This record gives sequence, structure tokens and C-alpha cells, in this order.
Amino acid sequence: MNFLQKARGFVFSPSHKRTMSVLLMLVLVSAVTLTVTLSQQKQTIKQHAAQADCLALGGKGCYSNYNDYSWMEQLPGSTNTCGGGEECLVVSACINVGGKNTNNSHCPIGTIRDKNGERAGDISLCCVSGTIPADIPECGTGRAGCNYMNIKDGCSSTACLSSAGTFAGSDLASNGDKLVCCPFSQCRDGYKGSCTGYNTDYCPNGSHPALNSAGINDRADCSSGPNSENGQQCCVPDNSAPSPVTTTCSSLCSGYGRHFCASSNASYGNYSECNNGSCNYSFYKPSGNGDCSGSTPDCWCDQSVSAPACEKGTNCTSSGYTAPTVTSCSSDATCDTCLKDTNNCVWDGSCIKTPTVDPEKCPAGGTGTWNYLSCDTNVCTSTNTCGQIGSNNGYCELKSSSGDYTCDNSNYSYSSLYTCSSGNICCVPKTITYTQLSVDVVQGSTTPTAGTNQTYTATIHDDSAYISTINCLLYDLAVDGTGQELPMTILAGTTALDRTASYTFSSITAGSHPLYAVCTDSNPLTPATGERGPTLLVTVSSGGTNPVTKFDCKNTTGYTCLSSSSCDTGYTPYSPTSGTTCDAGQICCQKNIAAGDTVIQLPTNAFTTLFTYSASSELLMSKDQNITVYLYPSTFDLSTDPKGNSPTYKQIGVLSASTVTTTNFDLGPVTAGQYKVLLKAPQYLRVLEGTYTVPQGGGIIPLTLNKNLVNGVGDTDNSNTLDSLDYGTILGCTGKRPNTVCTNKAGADLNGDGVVDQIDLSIFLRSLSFTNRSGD
Amino acid sequence: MSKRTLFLIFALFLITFVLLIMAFYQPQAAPKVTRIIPTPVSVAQTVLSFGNPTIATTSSITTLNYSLPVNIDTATNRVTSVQLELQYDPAVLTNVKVSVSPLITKPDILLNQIDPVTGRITYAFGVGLTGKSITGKQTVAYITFSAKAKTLEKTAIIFLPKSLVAAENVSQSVLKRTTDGLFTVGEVSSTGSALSQ
Repeated sequence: MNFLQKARGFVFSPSHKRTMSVLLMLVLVSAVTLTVTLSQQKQTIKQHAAQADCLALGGKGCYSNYNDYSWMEQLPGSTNTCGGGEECLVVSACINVGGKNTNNSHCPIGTIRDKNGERAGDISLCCVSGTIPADIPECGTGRAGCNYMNIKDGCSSTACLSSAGTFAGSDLASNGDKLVCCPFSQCRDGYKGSCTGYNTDYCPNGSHPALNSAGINDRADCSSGPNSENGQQCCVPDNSAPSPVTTTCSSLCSGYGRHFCASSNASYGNYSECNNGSCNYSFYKPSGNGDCSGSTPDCWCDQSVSAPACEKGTNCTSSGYTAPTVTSCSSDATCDTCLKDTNNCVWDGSCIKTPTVDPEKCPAGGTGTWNYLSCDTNVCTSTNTCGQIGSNNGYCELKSSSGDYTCDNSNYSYSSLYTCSSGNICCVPKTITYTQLSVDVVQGSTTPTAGTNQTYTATIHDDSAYISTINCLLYDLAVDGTGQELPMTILAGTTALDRTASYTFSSITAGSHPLYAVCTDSNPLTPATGERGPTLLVTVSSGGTNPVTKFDCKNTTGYTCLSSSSCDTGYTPYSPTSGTTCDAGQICCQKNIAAGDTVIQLPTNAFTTLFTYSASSELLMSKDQNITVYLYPSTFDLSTDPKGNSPTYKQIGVLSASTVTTTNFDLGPVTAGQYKVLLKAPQYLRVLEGTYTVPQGGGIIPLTLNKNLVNGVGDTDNSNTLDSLDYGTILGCTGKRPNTVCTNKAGADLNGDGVVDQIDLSIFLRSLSFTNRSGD
Repeated sequence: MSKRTLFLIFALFLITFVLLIMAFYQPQAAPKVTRIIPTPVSVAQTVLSFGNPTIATTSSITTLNYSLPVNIDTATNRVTSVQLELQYDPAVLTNVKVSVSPLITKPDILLNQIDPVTGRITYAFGVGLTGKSITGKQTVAYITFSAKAKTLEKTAIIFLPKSLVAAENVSQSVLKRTTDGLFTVGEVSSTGSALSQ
């Protein structure tokens, strides 16, 4: 209380004492701040002085703490320690960790290297005047050695100088790596092919055969070695060599990938036979069967082999890109096929072609602004008529020292959708919301009658304001909640931001149908898949009929829909009990077998034969299946065409599950000869049924079904191989995994029941145990 | 209070203020903005590589058994299945086997084909219907093999182009890059370490 009274008196009672107190406090504050300021200046002066001393001693500058040169580390066995708080990087580093400096203190051999195992340039400055050994054998006449660990070039103990005398960092720089040689046995792994100045006699010495950094035996001087075979470059040691990797040429080459067989004089990085313009980015096999036999060698290039300029991007394998057919891009004209996406943007910077207006997205006479992504900048640069992005370009900037992701420009914000070089972040305009690809609630009748046609429409908002291709799927959760994907037709909207998509049930079934839509956007500025729209519950009253699988008369080769009461000459009416896809008022007509045609005829029990497990008599499918018949010449290598892109003859037909009828595949006129006949159904591996002879003038060829299709089910992407991707596709469509979108339900529904579930997964796993996992 | 006192107080205030600014102000260079061209992010972000081989057991005087981890870095991918297509040197390595990491509970083993003559490995596994997807950096499988211990041998196990990695929401392989394994097997040195990568 006494204190409070004194304080109150001090504030409200002016006096000489109070004035003096205030003055005293101000003097004290001034003194303190003045002392701080002066002491800081003194410290700076000291540091500058130390810096000067350090430079005078040959150092590179002063560093405040040990961490500034923490990249140095000791090798095992060294007793010296690095650093310890010294301020001068070079001098203290030399004293403590190696090298030889003005204090005549040697660096212990083999005790220094940087964090990457590479020689650090500054360390070479440690190796200065003093006793340097006379010529050493490894260095050749007139070149002295230095007890210095030249890790960069693979030497473990000896480096060579251009001349005897003082070693300086410039020796390495001016003379290049070749002059810095070392005994082969001392080269580190991965560098044994680089010491060309010394190691010109690998094999005569019987040296251990070395693999280069790609794991390839690249010794160019062994073509005539004791174990060469058929003139091929199989560099293997003679009997005196220790620890041979392999013993015969054939064993070298039969192992795909590791070894390389070339006809002659091929050296690592310059495989003339393999690097002939289309070497893939990782491995390349021009031809041959992998055993290096015959006239054409088998080559496997590694990633260090320069790929053609047009392949340097990774987009060649992306959907919507076309693999380039050119090997250089000297002009735009040669790059027409190089990596063009649907927006006429060329993403590979090596093949830039001025984009042209896409007439589909920018119709003649249209208004607005039409934009492109430039090929190598990934920002919109040009503006024509039709679009909106204009100046909304992203940019990279250094990430702030505090590590946060705040853009310097307050109108921009960090985007994780782009990568910049290390230490930088990508900033995109805040005016663009890149994550807004949304779908409104699906609209349409919520209480239709079963068996009627019903159309449901969703409105799509694409706030990225970028003209792009959008695809939508309508999900019908009618069956068990996992959903049925139904492709929606995208209709033109009033603006580029607002479009609609619709789907029509040709004969909707009774029951509950929760519907929602999910859209994907090809626009690289937005996430590939937008959020699902709200669910519309549709309750379909009974009274209609469930749809049946109709015969696809419109799309089946040999059949046609005609708008008349009778078929044309050469055709016969076809009226299956399931009905056809012909429109009202049309009839389905089947083409008659013409004279000279060749017809592949399947037996009446073809459906059950092809889709029944031979071991369990279990029929997998219960609905019609599209079947494709392929004819290849009997000598054709089927492995070269796994997707059936280039058969000599091909015919698609429908194999009915409900009617037991003979199915004919009319191939038309076929050149007489022997053919491999194969059958393929969607999701099933292609099956070689045998080799058949087509006689002159054609005829009906009854097909004996030697193999069924069902054991090879699960090829969701029709690659003719069952692999991890098929498994992943099925897994993603089961609806059992959160935040997962089904990417291919039609392919994943292996038993055709409209649902992708554990049963389909089990079918796939069982198929893996049955089959050889590749078709044919 | 006299004018002189007031002036003195004012002057001291001013000096104090200036000194405070001098003491605590540390000028910083304006952050440099480097405009670098952004590049689009591919969906394929996963990297497969090998870890360091370790000696598992010594089954006999002349045979050493090794365990080689197969590591994955999924970046942004959520991996559901991995298909390893590998090549090794059957003249150096024998008794080669592959197993899934215990971190992946209830895996589906899709393929397990190892040809000791050609040195070809095809091994594929999935996380299972309800298994958690593989994310981040971890070991997904182990390759165990034996090597004759007479001498040190340099050898390699490499990934072949058919190696695949499947991930959620992506229909194609998300395998971005592989790193082959180069290492030495053979007799144990005096320090007990015979391996280097």
C-alpha cells in the first residue's frame, strides 16, 4: 500500500526529485542502448579482421560455426577430427581433417570426402607446397603424384599432376579427369570405366571384369579375349583373373537387362546398334530373342544413353499423347507427331510447335478468348479468340526462410499442383480457384415408371475458367451401393464455366436408384477428378420390365438395321428373342454368306465351352458376350501384337448366352493359306484355338474349341496380360476403399453381374493361378 | 520545470529513440524472386529402389545368406499393388526368394515366379481388399539369396521395364523411376563386412 501511494505521488506530484529521476532513467536507457550498439560494431570489426587473416592464409572465408563446413566427414579409422569451432574454413579444415597447408600439416590419406563421396574443390587447396613424391609409375613420365585422395575420379590413394612440383587445384581443372588416373585396382565402383589414361590394358592384366555404373560389362578391348564367342563382345577374364562374374557369353546375354551383346567395337554409351534413334528412355531392345544369337544383337540401353530429343519428357506414356516418330526436332515441321495433347499444347520443350486453333473448341465465328498452354512453360502465353486465362500465369519464387508457403505477391498463393526447382514454390493467382470442378445435384424425375426411358442431367461448374475436355459418369447405386458407372454426354453450356451432362436410361428398372455424378477434367490446372455431386434418390415404381440384353445389330459386323419391312438382296432378316438395338420401325438384317467368303463357325455349345471353368463345371458368365475372331498367318509372332491391332483378318460377333445356336463369323474373301485362329472377349486373355487352313475359294471352317476363355479372365485393360494394374483396377472399383474412384468398372466387373465386389477379386486371383498370365 | 530541463528531456528522448533503432534494426536484403518455369506434376510419382543388403545367416562354411530390402517412395501416390520384374545373375546368386514386408498385413500374393536358370524374377502383391494403401517411404519386400563365399563378387539386381506399380484412382502404372542395386557379395572380411553398394 505504501508503494502504491509513493507511485501515485510520483506521477501526480511534480517535484525536482521526480525530474531528476526521469532524467536518470533516460540516461541509463541511453547508456545501455549505446553500449549495445558499440559492442556490435566492435564485433563486426573483429570479424572483418579475422576474415582478412583467413584470406591471407589461403582460406576461403570465415564461418561462424562448425556447421558451415559440416559437409566434411571422416572416414573410419581416422583419428583426426573435423572442425571444432574454428572460424577459417580452409585453414582449419586442412589442419584438422587432411590436406597439406601452409602449416605443413598433412591431411591423413583417405580421411576426407564430402557428403556425396566426391572430392570437394576447396580441399584441393589444402594440398600445396612441400614434399611431393617424384614420378610415380601410375602417372607416367613427367607427371608427379600427390598423396591426395582423389575420390572424384575414383582413385583411392594416388592422383597425378601434370608436372612435378606444387599441387594446385588448377591442375585438376586444366588437365581434366583423364590426367588424373590411377591403378585400375584402386578405382572405386562405378568409375572403373573412366580412368582411360591408365587402364588401357584391362584384359592383358587379367583384371577383374568390371561393371560400369549401369551394371554393364563395357570393356572395349576384350573382343578378342580368351572367352569371346561368335565375335561378340563378351569380356570375361582369363583363368588368372580372380572371381569371374560369368563364364560364358551365352549366359551373359540370356539374362535380360544386365548384359549387352554387340557385334563389335561397341563401347558403353555408344552402342551404335542399339542407339539408332529410337532407344527408349530406360531400356531398348531393337529385335532378337534375347540370347544374342543370329545376326541381330540384343541390346539393352541404360538411362545414361542419350534418348532422342523428342522423348526426353515423360509424357509419351501419358494418355492423350502420341509417341514421337522423329529423332530430332530441328524444325517444327518434323515434330507434328510429338507429344501433342488435346489442347494442341506440346509439353515437351524439345518439340515446340505453334499451336493452332482447335475448331472443336473454338468454332469459326465464335467469340471470347481462346488460350493455350505453351509447351515448355506450362503457362498460358498466347491469346486468341475464345477463352479466359490470359495473364493468369503462375510463377516460382524462393521459399521464405521461415519455410512457410506464402507468396510474396499477395494476389498469388502457393499451389502444390506444380513443382519448381529445389527451394522454390509455385505461386498461382488467387483469382483462379483450381480445385473447383463441381457437379450440381442430378436433375430428373424422382418417381418414374419402370421400363420407361428416363433422362437425368447434371450441371458442371469448372471454375478454373480454362477451356478443357470434361468427362462425367453417372453413378447408379441401385444394386448394392458400389455403383454402376454410366457415361454421361456432355452438352454445351451457356458459358465455358457452366456445362451440363446427361444420361438416359433406355428402360429404367424398378426399385431405388440413388444417382450422383462425378466428372474428370483434362485441364492440367485442376485436379483430375472433381468432387462427387449430391445424390438424387430416384424411386422407380414397378409395372415395367427389366431390360434384357439386346442383340447389337447396329454395331455387329455382318448385320445392319434397315428402315423397311424387308432386307436388301444378300441379307436375311434376323430376329432374336432378346430383340435388337434397331430403332422403332427398323428391322435387323444379317448379311448372307457370299460365294468365296470364309466363315469361321463356332459350335452350338460355344458359349458354355468358352465360359465354363473346366475344373469345376462352373459357368462364369450368364449374359451375351462380344467375341472377336482374329486370323494371323501361321508364321506370325503373336507377341508382337498383343492388342490385336494388325491381324490379317478380324471379325466381331455376339455369342448368345440364352440361345444355343451356331455362330458364324463371316470374314469375307480370305486369301488361301494357313492361319492362326484366335478368340478374344473383353476382359479375357486372347486364346489361340489352333492353326487352320483356308482353301482356295473360302468356305466354312468349323472351329474346334480347344481352349476356353474363362481361365484367363481379369484383363481389365485388354493388354492381353494379367498384372498388377488389373488387380489395382478391380480393387479400386469394389467400393471398399475410402476416397477411391473406380476408373474402369466395365473392365473390373469380371462376372458381368453389374457389381464389382469380392467375387470379382476372387475370380481374378483364381485366374492367376490357372493361367500363364499372358494370352495366346 | 524549466525550459532547459524540458529540452534536455526531449533531447534524451530523441537520442534514446535513435539509439534504440540503431541497436535493434537489422536491415535485410529484399527477398529475391526467381521466376522459374513450373512443370506439370505427373501422376506417376513412385520410385522403387533397393536398400543395403545384409548378411542374414551363414548356412555353411561356403555359403552366405543375404537379405536385400526393396524400398518404395510413393510421393503422392497411394499404392495398392507392386509388380517386381527383376533380373539377377544366377551364376552368382542362388536360392533366391522374395517375400512381402511384414508391414503389409494380409497381402494378396499375385505372382511369384523365380527362374533360377535365367535369373528372372516376377513377383507381384497387393494390399488386399481392405488393406491400407502403401504411402510414403518404406520397405515393401525382401529378396533373400545365397552366395558362394569363396571370393568377393560384384553383382547386380536390376528392375526390368515391365515392373509395375498400381495406385488408387489411377488406371496406369504410377512407377516413375527405379534404381538398380549394385553390390558385392562373398567372403566376409576381417571386419565382418563384405557388402557395399
